[in-house]
Amino acid sequence: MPILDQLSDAVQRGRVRDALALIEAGLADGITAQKLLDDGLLAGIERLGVKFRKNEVWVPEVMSAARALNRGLQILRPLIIEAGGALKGRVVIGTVHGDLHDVGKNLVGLMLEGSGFEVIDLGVNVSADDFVQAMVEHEPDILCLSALLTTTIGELRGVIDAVAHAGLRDRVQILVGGAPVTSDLAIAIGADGFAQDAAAATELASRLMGLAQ
Amino acid sequence: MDKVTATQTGLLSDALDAAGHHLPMPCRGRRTCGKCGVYVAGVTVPADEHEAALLARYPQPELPGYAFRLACMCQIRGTVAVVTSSIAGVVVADVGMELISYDGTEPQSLGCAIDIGTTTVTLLIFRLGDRELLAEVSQLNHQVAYGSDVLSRIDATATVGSARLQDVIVTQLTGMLDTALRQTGAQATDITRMTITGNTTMLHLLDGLPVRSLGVYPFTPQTLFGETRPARDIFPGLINAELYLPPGISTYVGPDVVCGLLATGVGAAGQAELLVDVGTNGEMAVSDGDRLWCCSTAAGPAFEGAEISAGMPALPGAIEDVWLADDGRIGYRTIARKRPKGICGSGLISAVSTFLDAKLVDETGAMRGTAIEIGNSGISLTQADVRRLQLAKAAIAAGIDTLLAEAGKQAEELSVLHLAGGFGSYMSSESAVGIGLLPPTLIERVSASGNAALTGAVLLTLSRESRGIAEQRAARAEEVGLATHPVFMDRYIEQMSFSGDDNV
Repeated sequence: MPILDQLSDAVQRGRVRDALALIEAGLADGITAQKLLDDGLLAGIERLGVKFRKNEVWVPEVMSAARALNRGLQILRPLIIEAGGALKGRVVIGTVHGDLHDVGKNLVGLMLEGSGFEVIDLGVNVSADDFVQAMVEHEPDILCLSALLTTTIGELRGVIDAVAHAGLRDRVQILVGGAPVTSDLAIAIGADGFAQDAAAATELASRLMGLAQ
Repeated sequence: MDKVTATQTGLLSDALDAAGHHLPMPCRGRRTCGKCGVYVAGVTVPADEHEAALLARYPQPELPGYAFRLACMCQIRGTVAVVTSSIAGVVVADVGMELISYDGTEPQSLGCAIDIGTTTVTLLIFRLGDRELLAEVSQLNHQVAYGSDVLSRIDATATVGSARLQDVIVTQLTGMLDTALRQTGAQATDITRMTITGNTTMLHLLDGLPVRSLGVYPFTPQTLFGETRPARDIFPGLINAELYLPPGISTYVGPDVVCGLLATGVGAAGQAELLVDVGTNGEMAVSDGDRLWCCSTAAGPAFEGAEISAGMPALPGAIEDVWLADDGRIGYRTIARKRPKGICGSGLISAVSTFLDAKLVDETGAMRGTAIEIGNSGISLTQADVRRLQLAKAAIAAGIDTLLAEAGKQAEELSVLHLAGGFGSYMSSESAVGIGLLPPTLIERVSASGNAALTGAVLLTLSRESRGIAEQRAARAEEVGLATHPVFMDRYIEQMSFSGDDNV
């Protein structure tokens, strides 16, 4: 199997050591860091995303894969930047006020980071004011909001309204997600997009940045 | 308590079955679980070593004239009288296994204990002096029209108001009380004591209190109850009765859990024990014999058969048990032996445990193909069903792991694992261990405690003194917040695999 396919396979199996060894071998063979990322690590994540949507793999496998991806990225990112490559964009992410769920939010953050975004994670139970504050401080391209409770999805609109109130709405794309969130709700509250899972969030974020994945 | 007589020579369980009295047999009579205990009077063959060993594990209080035996092993010779406890645990009691008995002055007067479950409401009427059960009424909580889980009920109050949900439950309880009184031929005025338990939200709704703060972090309740008041405040006809509302520990570890602690004795001095109530919200408590920790975890409705493609409640026709036969085929049994119509929570656990044994599902939860039929039942589980079970199982198992870590205990250091809740009582502990829901080292120490919340409510009705015990225990309990607990976050992901390992 070619190295890139082996790397994709190692990521899908969440094998960190194998993935790191394959990256070293690929670099030694003269494969560019960008190609190892796109056709190795990210290709693996994308295939896993398809399997996840078909229920063939589950959260632990995706978490392990995301971990392998991020370890690989630590080696590749400096090389890509050195070669003149750029980050796709900057993301601020957090779970809204009143809600402490973070498994899904973390997964989205890891995947975005893996696919080349700079990710600033504000954690859980983040107030609308803190989101606005982070926007002023970090000037992100994308704001990702997570809500997992039927009692806290109302807070998504609260954050979007606060961002608008602060006069920052046209500077950022806002994505929303979480088990009770639907695309209808996303439209109703004036978000720019909704994603069903971490893989879809990554695709959508890339699309919004005008970058085909 | 139920009294039955059975005549036959042979196994007591067979005789009871023939007499039309179907005793729950969690291990299907394989002589492993020790849960089919009953009190027997008459000619019996003395317990052998194996039975004695199982009996020694769960000491029972004495009932004069009767011996406590396991129905699956007790050989009888002729007619015997058998007492099973239908208020399971009224026989068992708190500290030191002493019987908790009525501490009032009117032994002929009646007590009423109610458990308002989010799904099911159960009401008992019994005579206080001799604890004889006179009526039992159980119904689906009529508030289900406003959502099946606690959060959707809280959400509903935003549109219809708390008063509407209060009206629904009070009307339902009034009707249930009338039905029960008719069955007993007694008068409302005969009732002198009443206890109503339930989770913190259910009791807030009973009182018509605002519940919005219960639905968002930091989940602050208006009150944690633990109070006595006149029952006529809620039921105008109960002019002679006092109403006790047991204390809760927090919004998500409520009065129902405290009742469970009282009924099982978890938290009493000296014993290191674990209480697990498996439901939509899994609640658990662990005691090291000195301190007491508790937590609540959102398992979702998979254990109640909801969100499962062929899921159904535990009603006739639901597949409740699945096994791998010696010839390699998959066998199954339905409730009341009716034609298979679907699968309930215990069947789901048992089916997936069997599929794991048969290597039809691997430890990551991946299935061979997209669906697997359970034997020739016509009922299948899909890959998505297995995934839902993995989420539910992970929430409970990681909660147990986190409490044990807080207590600095290994599972094997605990003497008993009390399984509470209707579902917990019918679930086979082997299947539960098979899917990694319960720690394997405790399989021999599982004790099914039935509706422990209701049992606790009975004890609190009988004895005012026990209310002090419950209140002390609630005050002493330390709640472990799982949402931000690092051990929980790690274990939650790891426990999604059936082996419970981090399969990196």
